[in-house]
Amino acid sequence: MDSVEKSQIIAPLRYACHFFTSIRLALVVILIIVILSLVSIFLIQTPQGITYGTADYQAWLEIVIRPDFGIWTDTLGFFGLFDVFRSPFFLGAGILLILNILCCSIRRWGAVKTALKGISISTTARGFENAPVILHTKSSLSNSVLSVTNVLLRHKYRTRTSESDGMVFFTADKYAFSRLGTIVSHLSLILLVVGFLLGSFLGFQDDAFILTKGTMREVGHDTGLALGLVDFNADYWPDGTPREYRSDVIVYENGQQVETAAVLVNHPLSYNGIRFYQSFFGPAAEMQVQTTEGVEVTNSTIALVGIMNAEPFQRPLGKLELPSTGLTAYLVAPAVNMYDPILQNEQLGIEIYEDGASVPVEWAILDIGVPQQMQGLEFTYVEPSSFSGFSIKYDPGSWLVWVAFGLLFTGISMVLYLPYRNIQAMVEPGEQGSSLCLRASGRRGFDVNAELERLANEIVSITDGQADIIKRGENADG
Amino acid sequence: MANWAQGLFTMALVIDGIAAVIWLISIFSKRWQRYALGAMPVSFVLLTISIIFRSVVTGHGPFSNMYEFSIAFAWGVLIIGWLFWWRKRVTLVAGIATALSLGVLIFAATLSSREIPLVPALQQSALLTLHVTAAVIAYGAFGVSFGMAIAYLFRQRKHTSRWPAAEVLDRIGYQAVIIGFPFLTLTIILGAIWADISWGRYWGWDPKETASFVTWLLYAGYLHARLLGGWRGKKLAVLLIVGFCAVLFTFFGNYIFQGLHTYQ
Repeated sequence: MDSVEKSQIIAPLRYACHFFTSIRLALVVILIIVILSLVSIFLIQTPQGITYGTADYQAWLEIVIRPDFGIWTDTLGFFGLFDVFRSPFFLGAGILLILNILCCSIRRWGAVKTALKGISISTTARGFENAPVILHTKSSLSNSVLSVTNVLLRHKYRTRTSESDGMVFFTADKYAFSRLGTIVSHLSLILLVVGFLLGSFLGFQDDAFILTKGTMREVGHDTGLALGLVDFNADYWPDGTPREYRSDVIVYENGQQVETAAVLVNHPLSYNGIRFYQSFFGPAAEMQVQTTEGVEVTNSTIALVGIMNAEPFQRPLGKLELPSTGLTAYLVAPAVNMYDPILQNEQLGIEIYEDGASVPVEWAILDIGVPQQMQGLEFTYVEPSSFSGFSIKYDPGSWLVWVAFGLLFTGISMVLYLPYRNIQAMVEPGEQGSSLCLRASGRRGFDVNAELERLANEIVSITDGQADIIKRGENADG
Repeated sequence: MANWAQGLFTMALVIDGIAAVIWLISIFSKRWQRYALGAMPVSFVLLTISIIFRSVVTGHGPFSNMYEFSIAFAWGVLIIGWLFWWRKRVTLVAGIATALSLGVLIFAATLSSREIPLVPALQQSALLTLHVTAAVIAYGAFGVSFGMAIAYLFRQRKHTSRWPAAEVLDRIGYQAVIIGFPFLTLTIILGAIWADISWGRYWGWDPKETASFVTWLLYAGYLHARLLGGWRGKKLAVLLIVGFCAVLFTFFGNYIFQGLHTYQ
């Protein structure tokens, strides 16, 4: 391959490397992510289960968004602004940022390694003429060198010296390990994304796993697990808000009881990597339905998980299946936290529908313990009850997320609280003793001028005041 | 003890207000600064005792509603401002911290101080205390950096010997972010841990979580721009102001958007 061909390959690679390691790219991408995140706060976002780019998403846009946004619906919907965090623009910005982080970390690794090993000593006086701190001392060269060494060591600098042309050069650094903090904190962001993706693709989450007292349900997702609710209790503060609610549960694995526990908010149950969270609760109704001949149709507790919205009244709603009857019933409890003019406490509304119909064939109000005949069946509202709502989660990536968080905090703390310091000094024979120049080099995240001044003052003090600081300029700092 | 807590809060507010007025006067006459410097720690001590009393009464740290968090926020601004005055002896920092904390205390005074019982999700006192304490320190530090940015821009326009050099203000603003940024990171991490225990997911793009993430990104951008991008001066000051606007947006977020953090 000749040099022209080589340059044709190398030039684009070099450009790509420069592009992906550019701080400007990072700042632009951060700005894009900031803007999109703010959009997600102010614009309505799709509910759980509806994802950008699907038919459900389009249907949701038509039903929910178009009445308010009109002609803007298509444009805003196309850019995914109603499902920002799954939109290609947000994901694309995220990928660009990750690539930028990865490339920067790789590029910076060389400098980090050099800092860990120790930067080579510069043995030329060039650059020291503009040093911000210059001292003249009556001490001899060797005594000055000793003073500088002692001061640097006292401040826990890793110090190396070299002689050249009768001058002594110092390179001193401190907290070199904190250079690793940049790599650690940046790579932790990549680990965070990996952990999140692992959980998203290999895990599952069910946020509305509902049980009524005495019932059991399969967890599903090939876990072989089932959860049964033994008892549920809720305590309330005097103002009516929930103080605590707990579910006493049994976990079954392949039909065998394997665990019993109490699940409360902030006290989830863990079994085989699967976590059961006490998420919410609500009213339920224990119902008995039989034919007029006394044959039981159903005897169950119905969770009233839905809401019948008849402004201003919001009434809990549940579905009562009536197998082999061709009918379905809907149960309606009194409005929550307000006076209900139709349903009193301890009453339940019931609407009977023929299967497939949208209009009820009959409705009534049930009192506790009082059977009522409707559509050839006898309905009895036995007693009010509660349902318990769980969130069940399996996340194989969560351990990686916690590790990443720990590394992120550690890396940031290292970089910011223990900033890498690199001081260089030159001592040369002077007219009446020796001269000393101090400067800092490299990127500085610390108060360079204060540090140089502190070191200079200490050198002056241990030379018994025989040194004078003749120049204290400004060292441009970070 | 609840009445004592409320009384001490009111006294702290009044003394903070007096200190802020004295700071204003001291712009024209430096000899008044010592009175302001004397009033500031008095206000801080009164606020601290008020917080302690309130914690004893409620049985948890003063972090469970906007009234309590506002007082804690003001406390955070005062302690960071006092810390910078103590280390740097730049009295302008103390003055700005006093003024900022006064603004937050006035806002707190408009809120109901009634104790609201904790909903079950908030009954995790260790995480509640750690998470919100980290936020208080972060917000306090960012408040100081915001004040320094404003002062920097003013100093650039008006050359006055009464104020420190612009470079000093710029430096203090940066050092405040160095304090605040890791604490903001810790706030988000502790929040994620708590969300995982309480809600079953460590991150859900809840509006408050998203606003905190935006704030974190802005300050991360500031640090990168300063340390790696060669940004200096006015651009950085503007970025600090934008960052603190994000802090305020997150702080007031419960009034702007719904979400799991609103606990309504």
